[in-house]
Amino acid sequence: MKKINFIIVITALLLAGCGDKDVFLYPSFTESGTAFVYHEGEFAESADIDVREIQDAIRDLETDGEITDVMVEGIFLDVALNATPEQPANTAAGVVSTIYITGWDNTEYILVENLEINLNAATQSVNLNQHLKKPGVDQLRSILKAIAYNSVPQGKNQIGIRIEGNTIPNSTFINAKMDVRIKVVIEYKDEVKGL
Amino acid sequence: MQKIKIVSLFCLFGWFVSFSSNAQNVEELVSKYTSENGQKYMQPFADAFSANLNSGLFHNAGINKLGFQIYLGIETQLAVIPSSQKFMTATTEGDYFPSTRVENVPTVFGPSEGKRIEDPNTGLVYVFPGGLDINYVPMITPQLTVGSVYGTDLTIRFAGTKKIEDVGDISLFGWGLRHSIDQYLPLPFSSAIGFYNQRFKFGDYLDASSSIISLQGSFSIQVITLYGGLGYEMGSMKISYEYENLENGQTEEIRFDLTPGNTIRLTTGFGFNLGPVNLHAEYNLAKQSTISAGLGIGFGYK
Repeated sequence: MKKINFIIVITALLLAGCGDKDVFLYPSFTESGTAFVYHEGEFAESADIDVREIQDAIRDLETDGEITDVMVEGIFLDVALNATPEQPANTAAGVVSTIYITGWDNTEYILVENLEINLNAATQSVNLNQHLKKPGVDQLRSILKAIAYNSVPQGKNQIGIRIEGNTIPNSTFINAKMDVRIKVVIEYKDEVKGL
Repeated sequence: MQKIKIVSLFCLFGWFVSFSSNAQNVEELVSKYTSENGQKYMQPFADAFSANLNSGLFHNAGINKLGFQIYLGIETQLAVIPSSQKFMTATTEGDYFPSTRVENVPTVFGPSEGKRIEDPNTGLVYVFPGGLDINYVPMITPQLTVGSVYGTDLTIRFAGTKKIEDVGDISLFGWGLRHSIDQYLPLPFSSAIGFYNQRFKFGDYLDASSSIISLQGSFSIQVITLYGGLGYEMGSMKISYEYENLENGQTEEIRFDLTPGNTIRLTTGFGFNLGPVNLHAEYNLAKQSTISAGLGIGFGYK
């Protein structure tokens, strides 16, 4: 999340003087779901994000206006090798992963399919924007909107994200922390009081 | 997130009055703008502000060679924002969204709704912030002109406020010197050459300076004065604000150094002299054109 002390833009408004103005604000924040993957060969792990974390992030923005939309600007996959030291060290040269998001109705939507990543760096961030599937992103946006509008179905307290995949070469051991990092943009409509 | 009080500024002794209205949070309005896009976003503000500062500086070119002359008045300026100043071409910033160059993105004066770019293949959305949907930028300044020493007079603009919460001091100081030309040349009208310099400070957020050299002429028929001028403008505007990343808690200063785009200015105006009372209006043709009108009391001017 970021914040800004910005007042100068207001000057223009002030000098323009009179009348109330509606302004649209677009604060943003990032949240991530984490999966610790230590498997030989095939794996499937959850990288859920708490609904409460999203709610807190929106609350931290402290914008007074009315939320009018929620958008997803981008998604990264951050990979850190050997993040679980009590497990064997990573021997996989790469990994092929598919990332799913679970809708409120428990239907799974593919966010990314068969993404191949070389595990040749201790840490790396993979921009998923070339690999994302629109139905999955749309579903994520829909879930985020429900959270922003306080219309989360009863009993749902997680955004379900699942990472499944296989190591390259087959049957090697993967020891990695995988963060699915999402940048969310909130649109607010706010009123600025003039003279 | 810290709230910012909107401080409305207008006429205090003919200039700014400051007062706070409801606390509003507009901090995120340009949160994506930290580089070239920010310069483009704020450039129209620099143009309009500078254009206003350089308007209404004179309404008569007649300066006595020697003798007391004084004029005290209020000048109002209005920059009319053309549609070309409401939009810009911008490029998406940050790592998340694919780099994309986009036309018709709002500037600070543009429509309040942001410009959205949606990737049809992925559903990702990038939003450029909106503007403040402003068509006019007005300004009011008090002005004093005193002469004459060997055909030279001095113009002063000065105004300021005490420290305002969340803003700091606000001040304007301007000065100008004019020298009569028609005292040397037998012209059928009054003429002078002038140089004016003004500086406006808005706390630590804005520091603007503006200068203009102008060749002025005027012709009076009974109570009416027709006047005009050709000017060359220069200026600068520094805008700075703090950007705080809540993820690492670090604050950095974001700074824009803007150069107002106005250069050549053509002024044409007229005034009514009703005894000591002078009422005048002018139009300034420039990249950012302005309308200006003033009312004051003067003695000794032709």
